[in-house]
Amino acid sequence: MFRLTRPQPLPIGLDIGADSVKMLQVEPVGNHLSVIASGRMPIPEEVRHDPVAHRNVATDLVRQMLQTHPFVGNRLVTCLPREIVHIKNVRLPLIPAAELSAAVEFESRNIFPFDVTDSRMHWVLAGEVRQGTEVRQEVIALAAQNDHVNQFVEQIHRSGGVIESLDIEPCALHRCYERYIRRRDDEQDVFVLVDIGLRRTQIIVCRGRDLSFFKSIDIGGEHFNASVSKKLGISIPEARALRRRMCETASPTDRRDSVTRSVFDATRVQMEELCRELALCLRYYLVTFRGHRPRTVRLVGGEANDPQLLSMLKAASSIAVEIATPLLSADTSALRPADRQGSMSEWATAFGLALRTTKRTFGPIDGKPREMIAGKPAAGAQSMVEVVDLHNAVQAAAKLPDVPTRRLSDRAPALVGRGEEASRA
Amino acid sequence: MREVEFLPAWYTVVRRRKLAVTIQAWATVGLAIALIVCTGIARFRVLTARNELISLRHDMAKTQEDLNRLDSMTQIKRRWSEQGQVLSKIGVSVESTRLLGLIAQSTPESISLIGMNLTTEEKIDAAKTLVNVRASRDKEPAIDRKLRVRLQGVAPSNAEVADMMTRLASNSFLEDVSMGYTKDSDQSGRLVREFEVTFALDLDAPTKE
Repeated sequence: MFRLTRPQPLPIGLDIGADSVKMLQVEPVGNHLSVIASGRMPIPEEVRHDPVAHRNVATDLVRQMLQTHPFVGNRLVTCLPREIVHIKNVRLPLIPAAELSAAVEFESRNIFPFDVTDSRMHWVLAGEVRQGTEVRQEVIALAAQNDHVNQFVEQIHRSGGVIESLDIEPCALHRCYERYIRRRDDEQDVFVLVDIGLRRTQIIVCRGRDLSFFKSIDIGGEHFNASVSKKLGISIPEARALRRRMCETASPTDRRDSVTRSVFDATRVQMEELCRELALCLRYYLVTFRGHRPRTVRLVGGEANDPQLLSMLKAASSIAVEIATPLLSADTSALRPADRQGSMSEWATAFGLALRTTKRTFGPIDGKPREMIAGKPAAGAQSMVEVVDLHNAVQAAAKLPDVPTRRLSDRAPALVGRGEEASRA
Repeated sequence: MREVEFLPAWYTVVRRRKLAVTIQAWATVGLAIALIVCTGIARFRVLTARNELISLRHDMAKTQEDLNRLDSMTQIKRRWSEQGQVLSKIGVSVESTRLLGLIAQSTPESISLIGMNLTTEEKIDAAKTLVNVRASRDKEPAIDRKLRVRLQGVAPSNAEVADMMTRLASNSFLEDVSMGYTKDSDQSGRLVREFEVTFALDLDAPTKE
């Protein structure tokens, strides 16, 4: 009953996805994390495309899991649905950090399609960008209308849980790795998280403890399933089951089977489109934030285990592409055996949300204590403000010349396209 | 890492107020339980005290009764002490009829008493006076009082005289029973034995106790 002598468990991370609801609770044990309980329940097919019914069903599933799973307490940390969070990139002159918040709020009045006074607005400092001869700082402004947020909070509260914090998915995904940064070198390490969900894919570029870029692409597992269904003349659930079975058994290079070949052909167009979007995003990042080259692309989300997609991304990129294992450094013995299979990359969002209320950094189960990191230095000076249309900017970045290498210490040839090495030569 | 928080402020406030209300409700329930327990304990103590009071009153009544009896006994003792002091001063008054009745019981029928002499002897007990001289300096000196009785009579023979002396000696009140003399005597032409017996009666015996 009383856990005074034991480490107190963190709140439950609640990830409400398009196809399932996942809950994960961890507790710090010494210097590492241990999973206390987890739960995953699928959302019925018939309500997935109805937002109201989807939320009602998700609320019922959360209530069921709180009652039937061995979670400690009912404190929840969840993230806002992607469709109610509006994201804008704003470039500001270098101004003191104390004035940055007021400047972003002032500039945000005109960039969102609704009145920001009736919404909740936050911002994330992406980093300094060089625009011609000027140096500016790029800020990612996030806003959600109060009505939408209140409806969502009331909906979740009806499940019997108490919301401890309300986050956004990119921050939660970044937190999975940020809480494990141990060395000062790792603070400058740039990595890309590609969250491939059922409806859309998010590309998040992280630099150490900072979030530099994120963009949502409307390509996801749903589109792959629809293509397979159309190509093979089967229903959507059958197509999903077929792809899932192929993810578990088939090798990415094994295309002798006709069914496998058909599935590959059916999904190739969307996957190539996804690879192209990823390449454009990375190119935009390289052009904008010069000197910070990504070293790894990590795939997270429910569709991340697709070997075909992994092989295509590897083929299209010179950066190391891997399926993320967010729970690798945590004790997962309390997870159900069914949830413990594979890379467990689908738990990344729930895991990141579960770590929301702690500021600690953790190590692997047999790791050593890590060092504490100082904050970022403040900027100065003033200039004009510019709102960046990320979609157009990413498309425009494709036409720009390649960026020269600035840091000799970069270990990997961190450019997306193969043309970079050719241009370098 | 800069954290973003979209949780509305009203939710936190509502949560805090709800927590406060819950705490207050539990505190009220706890207080009510504590009051009930305290009232119960107080009532139990009152009942216990009331029972103890009743028991105490019963004991006090009994003690009062004993005190009254003690007072009456103390008065009797004081009265008896005063009488004892009077007796120690004047000695025991021996009724003549009782003494004569005792002598008549001890005298065989064949013996005729022809004379009786009663003498009171008073002499100071030197040993007792020396012992108690310091303790009772202001008191009267101890006096040993005895009633000396001398009987003269005639008997047909010495056997009757001996029988009489045995009877007198067996009486616990009499002491120093002794023969004064015995001789033949002629009484109207008949030869009888004339004798004299003496004994003493301690007049201080009741006051010594």
